[in-house]
Amino acid sequence: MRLRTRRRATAALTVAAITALGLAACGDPGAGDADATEGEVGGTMNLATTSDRGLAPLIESFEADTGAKIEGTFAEAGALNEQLRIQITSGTAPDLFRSSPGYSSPSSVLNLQAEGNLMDLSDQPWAEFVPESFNSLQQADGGTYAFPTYGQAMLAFYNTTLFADLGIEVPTTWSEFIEACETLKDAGKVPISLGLADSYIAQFTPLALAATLVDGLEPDFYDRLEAGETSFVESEGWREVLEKTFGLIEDGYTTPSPLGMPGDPAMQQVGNGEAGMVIMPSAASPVLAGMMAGGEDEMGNFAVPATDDASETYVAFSPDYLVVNAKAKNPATALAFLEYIAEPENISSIAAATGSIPALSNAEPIDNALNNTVQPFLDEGRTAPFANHAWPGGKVAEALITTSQQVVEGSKTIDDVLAALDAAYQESLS
Amino acid sequence: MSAGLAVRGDASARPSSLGGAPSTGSRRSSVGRVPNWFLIPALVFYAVVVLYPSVAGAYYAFTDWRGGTEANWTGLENFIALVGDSAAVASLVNTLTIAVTLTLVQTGLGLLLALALNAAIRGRNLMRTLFFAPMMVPPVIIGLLWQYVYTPNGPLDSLLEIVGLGALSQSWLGNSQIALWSIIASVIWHHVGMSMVIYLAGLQSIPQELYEAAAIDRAGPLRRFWSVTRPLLGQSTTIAMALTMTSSLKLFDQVFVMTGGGPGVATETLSLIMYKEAFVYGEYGYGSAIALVLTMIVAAIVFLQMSITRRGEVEA
Repeated sequence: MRLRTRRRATAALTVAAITALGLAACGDPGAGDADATEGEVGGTMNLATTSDRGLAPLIESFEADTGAKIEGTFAEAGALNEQLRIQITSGTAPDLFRSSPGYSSPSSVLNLQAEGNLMDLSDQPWAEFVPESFNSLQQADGGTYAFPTYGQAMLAFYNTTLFADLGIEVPTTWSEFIEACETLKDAGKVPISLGLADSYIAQFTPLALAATLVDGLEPDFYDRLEAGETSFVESEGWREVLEKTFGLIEDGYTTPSPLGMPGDPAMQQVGNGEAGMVIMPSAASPVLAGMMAGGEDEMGNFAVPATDDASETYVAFSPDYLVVNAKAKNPATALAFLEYIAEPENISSIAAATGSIPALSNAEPIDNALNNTVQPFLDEGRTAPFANHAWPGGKVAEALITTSQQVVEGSKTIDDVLAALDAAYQESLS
Repeated sequence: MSAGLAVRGDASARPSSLGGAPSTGSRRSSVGRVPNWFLIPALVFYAVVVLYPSVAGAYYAFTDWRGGTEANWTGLENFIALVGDSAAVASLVNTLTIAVTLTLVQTGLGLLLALALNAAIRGRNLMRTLFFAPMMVPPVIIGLLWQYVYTPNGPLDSLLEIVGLGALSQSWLGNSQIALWSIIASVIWHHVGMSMVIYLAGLQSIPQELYEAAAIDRAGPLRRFWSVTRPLLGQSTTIAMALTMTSSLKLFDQVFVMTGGGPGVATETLSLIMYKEAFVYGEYGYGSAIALVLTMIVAAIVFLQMSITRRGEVEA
């Protein structure tokens, strides 16, 4: 019965090696180029995105009109990003696929463009309707490399019943916002629900405030940062963003012990009236609406003010993209499909179905609470991309998340956060 | 290698398939043997799905590969960066803390449960099933479940309040001094059934005569455990500790779901930063370097641990 120790040790070592080195070799590095605009519309075109919500009826009608077949693959954004990165590297990526804005992930638009993996879409008829504020997220070397399927905004979503019961008016300035928080707190409610146990949520409030305090009031900050003329540490806007974000927590206007609270239960607090509002991207609003007794009708939203001048408020607004593979096997159908869904009524129908905002300026207006809030800001040009979408690589956002948690916990300061952002930014550029 | 597959026994004593004469020596060597080339498909499959990725992964650890661009040889640069990476160092400390704690506590609890449920008590089969049941649930679900349990004013805090220990309520996942231990507790709850089953199998293989002989020698329960049960469970201990150690060194799912490595870097593990570097930031070269280091650590610790635990093994 004595164990064969040596054999087991060898087996254990083998298992260990397989476990850790399984990361390996997803294909040979390198990207090619292809003149992929030739061909007729038809055949099979492969599509990969997060959901067929809003797209399904358009796919059906496009297939009926053209005789083409669209094979769709749908997965959660994080998993899709990882899968696409591997497929692109190994040359097996779909013809048309979802991509993150700017440099926000390894498979985001500008990272893939730099590697020559995306088709230049500048000559497409819908390109003239892409909002100017998206330029930094999808343009490079004079070309346009992505199709904005819909947009999402970073807003405050609130329980309208609770606001009405407490007589709270929708705030349009920072002072009014604090006043609303104070009223909610006095009524024994959590003013702002905050679930930082899901670490990515630590970005939401800073991104909402940065649209006004950085993009709005320091419009040349990112250009100067890229030129090495300034830094996060030197930015008054970013310092104020963080002071206001952590001030809300210190002053007791957020969920107690937010680091231990996951995102979903935090949202539920707004749904059941224990909390007044939550700051989050509009893409998550259908989930919140589902948590409210009155559904979507009970859920209000407003742009998060950051100063005492309402006209200074900007809304953080970023698109979700589809891009065409430079090595697409069926580029003609991919381009034709984009042209089809870019038609004003179609781009609006996608936004309506996904609870989002149309991202092309020629879209038919949608009459709902979300679009009624964001549209005036779009019309006046007072929108700015989510700050993390323009940062070079995901490490800057990760630095914001990690050090923000440490500030909330008390082991770091705002200066530490700003220094960490600078360090991660420089590391990402190198 | 085919010898292991040969029909065992005295072939010379069997009649030939063509007649009743005993087989000759030369014929004996081929009867029942599988030709070596039968192994080729399996070896090719193994090489493609295991050896090649492993060797390629090791190669990329010495490059700056970022997925889409060319991989340039950078020598030890990734490993030097790893040493200076505070998050990596913190994750190494956390990983070792998790591994040592889980190995000791989970194995110890598994032994206690096995001893209790090996006794002739009513409902022991039901209890064995209940303790093993969490093993059947995917780790991601376990992570979500415990994240809910640890929610401020959630089930755990409510339970503490009911039993008069409300003062112990914590931000279980939000306090960096406690978060790692909260995760460890959930992993023990998830995996202790596995250690219990290994020990139960070991206990049931111990001959009853040894206990009877010990009883005749007037050995009490503690003495019987120490002098009979403990040494004869040596093999079970080796297996239980090796499996727990390897799984805890590469712990990923629960940490990813429950804290994502936070607050700050309080619960980062090597597996988690390997995932982030490779698949979130696209730093495949650096991620491969972390994987290689993790491999070395797992191999070294498991080898050391097995060298120690095998000394305690005795034959029944």
